[in-house]
Amino acid sequence: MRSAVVAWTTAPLHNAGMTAAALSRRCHGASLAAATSLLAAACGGSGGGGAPTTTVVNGSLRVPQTAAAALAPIPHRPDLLMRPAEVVAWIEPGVDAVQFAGPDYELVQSGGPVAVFRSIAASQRGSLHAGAALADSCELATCHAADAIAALPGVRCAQPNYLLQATRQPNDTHFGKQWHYPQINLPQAWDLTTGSANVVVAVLDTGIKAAHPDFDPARVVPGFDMISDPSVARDGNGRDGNPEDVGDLATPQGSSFHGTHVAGTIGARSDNGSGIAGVDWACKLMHVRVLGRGGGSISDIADGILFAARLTNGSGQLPTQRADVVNMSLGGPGLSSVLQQACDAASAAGVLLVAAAGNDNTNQPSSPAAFASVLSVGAVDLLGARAPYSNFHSSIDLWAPGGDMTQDRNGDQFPDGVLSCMADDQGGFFFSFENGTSMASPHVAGVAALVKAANPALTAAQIRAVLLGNTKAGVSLPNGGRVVDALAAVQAAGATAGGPLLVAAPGAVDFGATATSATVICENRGQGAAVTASVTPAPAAPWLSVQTTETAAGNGLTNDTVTLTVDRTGLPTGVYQTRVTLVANVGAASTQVAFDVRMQVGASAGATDEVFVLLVDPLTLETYFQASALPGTGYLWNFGSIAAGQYLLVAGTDRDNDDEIGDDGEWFGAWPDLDAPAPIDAVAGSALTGLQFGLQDLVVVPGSAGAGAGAGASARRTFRRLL
Amino acid sequence: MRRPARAGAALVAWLGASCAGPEAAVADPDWRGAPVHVRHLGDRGVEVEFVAPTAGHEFALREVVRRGARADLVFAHAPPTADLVAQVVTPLRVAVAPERLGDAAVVAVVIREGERSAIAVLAARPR
Repeated sequence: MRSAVVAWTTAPLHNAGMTAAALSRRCHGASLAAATSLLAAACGGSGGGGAPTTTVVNGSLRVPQTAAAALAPIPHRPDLLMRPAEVVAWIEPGVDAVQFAGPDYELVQSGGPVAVFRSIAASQRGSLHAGAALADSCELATCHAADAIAALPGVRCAQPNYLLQATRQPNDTHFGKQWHYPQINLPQAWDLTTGSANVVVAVLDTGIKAAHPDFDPARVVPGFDMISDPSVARDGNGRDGNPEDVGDLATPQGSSFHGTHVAGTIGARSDNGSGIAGVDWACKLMHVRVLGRGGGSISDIADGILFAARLTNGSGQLPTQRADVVNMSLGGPGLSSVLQQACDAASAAGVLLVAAAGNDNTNQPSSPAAFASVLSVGAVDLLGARAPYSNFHSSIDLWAPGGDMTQDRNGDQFPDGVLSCMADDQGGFFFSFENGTSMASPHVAGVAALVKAANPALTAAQIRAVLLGNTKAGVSLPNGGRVVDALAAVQAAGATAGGPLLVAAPGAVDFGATATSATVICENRGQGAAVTASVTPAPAAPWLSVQTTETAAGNGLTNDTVTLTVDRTGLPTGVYQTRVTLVANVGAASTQVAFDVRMQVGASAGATDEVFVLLVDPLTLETYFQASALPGTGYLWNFGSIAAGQYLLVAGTDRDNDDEIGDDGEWFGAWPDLDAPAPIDAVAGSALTGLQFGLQDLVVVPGSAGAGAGAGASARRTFRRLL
Repeated sequence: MRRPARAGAALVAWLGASCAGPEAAVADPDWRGAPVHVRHLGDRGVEVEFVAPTAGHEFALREVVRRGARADLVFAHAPPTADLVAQVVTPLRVAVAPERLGDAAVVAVVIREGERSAIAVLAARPR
């Protein structure tokens, strides 16, 4: 059973919803005294009490009269294009917008219910799109100004004055629910290309429900059923030429039809007036069935990879045309040498391999994603932060939307999963939301196919370089990770037809709190002889020195090595970030590549990670609702709509990813103060804003009551966050 | 929907004991695997949901053990046996009929992996 299903018919959708259970919960009847004493005992105070508060979280929650009827506010999107510093507001009847003009806001336009203000503070900041850091950007300041204006009496709502661009919007019925495409600038990329029928994408998965109405039979090339064990295949035989998915009985509720969902993301029939859109509207799909009941074996999957690459394999069969891209939304712990050999061979044959990084919320490598010959994809949520299940091993090359179905951050009454094609064991066809790195990987595979369509001359290595060199920022992604950007990649692919293509390795440098120097090697994987002309950090970074030298002859770029040195002298505690752009000349033309640099001053610079904000039952301390506060948004959080009741409000980091907040080594706090917490009475029909409180570093102080294995250590209770 | 004050006070005392240390009679939840949720059904049965990170996990209800006012739902967890599995988050739901819970005031989800058992959820049943 899936938590949200979109019927094939055009009937109105309903959300079986991620908050259905949560909304039905109510706080139990704890008295104020009992609640506060319980939390105080549970938290054990402030972990020694000596750590100063350096991180403040601030947010709001809303309690509708009828919870199910409520819509959560649509979050601001500072990453979108907007008129600089401008806020557009809807003014209540009878209210004159002029009264709101003053030293903070200029009134730019009024006369009807719509008024436009310009934030003085925001107008004095640089733009994200000109290299400013998010925290110091005009865009984020504009979002904050919108919140402030929205809170004024007489203002019904306010938001940044976003610029709406003409983009290719497919007319598929459910396209509006595919938030995961605008997130990677896909509609803008479709203005440039919607794909090519000359590009083949192989989907190594559970097979395909080919009769699903949102698949075009004309876009399928012959595939193969590589499952050798009939009991796993469930189709009455071993390997055969029919990759039809007969079901894997993955759960007691039925089969997963995982391959159908994955294939839909890559190449569903698009702009056809019904169903969903795929990333690529024209590529050919090659279905190679390798997963059956319980999963798949190394041998079957290795042979499936070789088949897709048109290399000799155990089936004795070869496709007419090798795949350009192979998607593998599958994985397992540890590294398989046999699987690596197959991946390396396919990569050497010119195939771009893309794989899911895994869903175990660990930093452990998995096969096949962690192989150097495979492009490993982690999953982000709707905001661009790491999805809570996604692995975060350093081998992850790129991040893409995989969704988080515990959330509804855009308030569309659907869980924030990836919407794609689905089937059931009874022969029904529909659409469903799913989440996982399985869903992230096909976004990248599809964009890779678009890149190939934009420039058919690109090799697999060049497509990989284009994808990795043309990305967009995520939110505090591990290891300086970045999100796939379809528009930037397709633009770069078109621009590099016959031209240079600069890449940098590593794609991000994190000096941490102690390192002082590092090198980044750049090269030209395209055409022509490039010469480094400039290396510039933006925003300006006086703490960072850059120097270029020539160390690797023959890689198409003269002065290819960038040596980075940081100087922390005199700098206050904190995290410093910039983005370094290397510009190279190729004859009269120029090209560039960029990478992020991050440095920390002080052993602990505050909660630089995602902060989880929880509403817990003051009696049982069970977590009922969860919101997220991110450094890039100034640690603002919003629960949207919750059920009425009495709650304790706590927040903290989960750096060790043990799904608990409030344990040693983490930042943690409670409203209004950790040393004197108090429950919040959320009354139906009310809205609570300005719930601001500080977080403290729960450092274990040797010899204190909260340290070691004594009774004091067990007195502090942690709080379980939701997945 | 609010719980009577007397029951609330009892639960406070019970949880207080659970936090007190190793001599406590009732352990804190200590399961570190897939998130587990308990939903109370209208017929006083429960539905236990395991949010498995990937395909291939199995949670099978082995037995229901009464420990005073608590009913332990003992599940056996089998991780994926295949080399590689689909990387999709997979909710697995198991319904437990009310007659198997009797008049238990608290339901515990206990997960057994080989010789090791861990408590995943302690949930008070609505009256």
